[in-house]
Amino acid sequence: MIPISYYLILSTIIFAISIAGIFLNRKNILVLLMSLELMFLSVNFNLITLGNYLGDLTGQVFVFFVLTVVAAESAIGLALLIVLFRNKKTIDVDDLSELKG
Amino acid sequence: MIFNLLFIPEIILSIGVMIIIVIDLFLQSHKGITFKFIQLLLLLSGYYSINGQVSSIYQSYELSEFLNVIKFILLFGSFIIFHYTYKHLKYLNNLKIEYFTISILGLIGTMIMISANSMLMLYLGIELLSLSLYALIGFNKNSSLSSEAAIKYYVLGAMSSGILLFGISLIYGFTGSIIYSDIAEVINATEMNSVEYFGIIFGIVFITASLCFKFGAAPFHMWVPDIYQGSLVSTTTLLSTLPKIAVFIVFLKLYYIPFISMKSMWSDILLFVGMLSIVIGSIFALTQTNIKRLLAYSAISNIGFIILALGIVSNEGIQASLYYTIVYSLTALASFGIITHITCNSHGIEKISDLSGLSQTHPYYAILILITMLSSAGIPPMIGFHAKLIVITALIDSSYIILSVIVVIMTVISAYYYLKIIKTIYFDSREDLISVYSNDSLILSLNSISLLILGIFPYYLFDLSSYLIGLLFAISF
Repeated sequence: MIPISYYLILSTIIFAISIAGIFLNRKNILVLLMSLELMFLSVNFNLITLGNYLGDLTGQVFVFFVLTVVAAESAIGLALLIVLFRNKKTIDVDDLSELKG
Repeated sequence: MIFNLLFIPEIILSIGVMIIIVIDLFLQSHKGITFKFIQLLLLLSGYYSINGQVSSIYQSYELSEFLNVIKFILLFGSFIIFHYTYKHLKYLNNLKIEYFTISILGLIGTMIMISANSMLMLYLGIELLSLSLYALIGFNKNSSLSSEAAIKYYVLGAMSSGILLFGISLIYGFTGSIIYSDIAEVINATEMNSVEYFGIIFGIVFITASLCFKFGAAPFHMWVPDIYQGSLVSTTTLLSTLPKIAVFIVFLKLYYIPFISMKSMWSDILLFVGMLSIVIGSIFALTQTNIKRLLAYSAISNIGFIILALGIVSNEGIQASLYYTIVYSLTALASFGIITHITCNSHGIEKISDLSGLSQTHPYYAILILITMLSSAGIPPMIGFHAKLIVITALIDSSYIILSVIVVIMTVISAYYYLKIIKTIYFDSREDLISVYSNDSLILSLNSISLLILGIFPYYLFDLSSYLIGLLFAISF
């Protein structure tokens, strides 16, 4: 039996990796979107673990809601990425610097 | 039978959105008729929300008198915003009914957010609002500024949703429930310095960070000026009113219902965030030349006042924060509404200097801007003065003397850039093609002049907000 703290530490590490991926990435917006997906997966992992530990279905039902919402969210994200590429011909993070003041 | 009578405003809007999409298919060339239908829908929904019922559904969705009034305010605000938006989009030859359908979906999101009594409903409401805002910000799809703003807001907004979810998962894990009232009981019974206590603190910190991001408060404010500048003025109007009211109600309900036992912990965080927002909003706005960025920083400092008043944890503080939120929304509506009406060289207003000479060509609009800016700066006969006064009084009553001194100093500093706009309008002259594209300015005039009228009789609005707070909380702190 693996203690619950191991699961929680693992999900926290994945969460930290995804945050680091968002802030340290200076190359490509697609990598940002992948980091975001990783973040939601770590949260789902956390919810499932805790729901199972508490013997409560709420956590697992919550995960289904999160999965559907995140699917919609990434669809919108990819659509915005296409619009951006049409206007700028690049998806480099460094080129997102027109808005400054 | 009981069930289907409950959320009539939300149901009217959701079904109405689908009907609008179909109507728009058949009335492509008569968008005015479809728009009338949208306005009718908002009025109908507003009527049912003010006469709404008081109940709750499985403890997770709450309908109370307080929330009915707030929903009415949201619907009324979006009625005014849609009025401005319709004219603005028509002027830009970019009139698409999809803009309004997406906005209405965002409006439903705000209504779900404020009615939520469980973390799941809160998350779904916030996501419905955010998904609509991503699309609205990127609405001007031929502009690279707009798409850049949209992708920036998307990445940061999705990240803040992830942080919110992580906080929710921690709260769920350490309290065993996602219903607000159950969480309140568990937190009340938790011992200090136990493992659960620290877990809950972590959860609250994550949720606070995410909500401050959605609010546009200081350490998480980087997106605000960029997004305000990049999107259409009509989107900016929407962005600076509806989500702010909704997130404020979420703050109020979350911190004063489930997390109230932790008040010694979060009150310091909120005071810090509020203070930092006021300082950053006032100082960084000084160097701005773009009027939308300037108003964005002004929004940050106003948000700072609201959060500061929430962090005081006293009855006066809560009343002051609700009062300030209503006043701020009115002022933001008026100031962005005026900007949607004015064009310079047949473009929208971008630079502050674009407004120069407005007093010679359009003295009436110059007076409207004068009233709005004086109200934002907090000059006495306008209502902005009373809002700031009540927040500062609440601070002093709870003996935060140093904080109130800093707030007053920052208010004086921020008066500089509001007065700079007035100076540009009245004293700078320049040969420029500044024009107002609409003669019909009834709603805009009422909106701006209400700032003056309500400022002369401030106690109507104050009585309203203290009455509303009395409905929400029977107990005092």
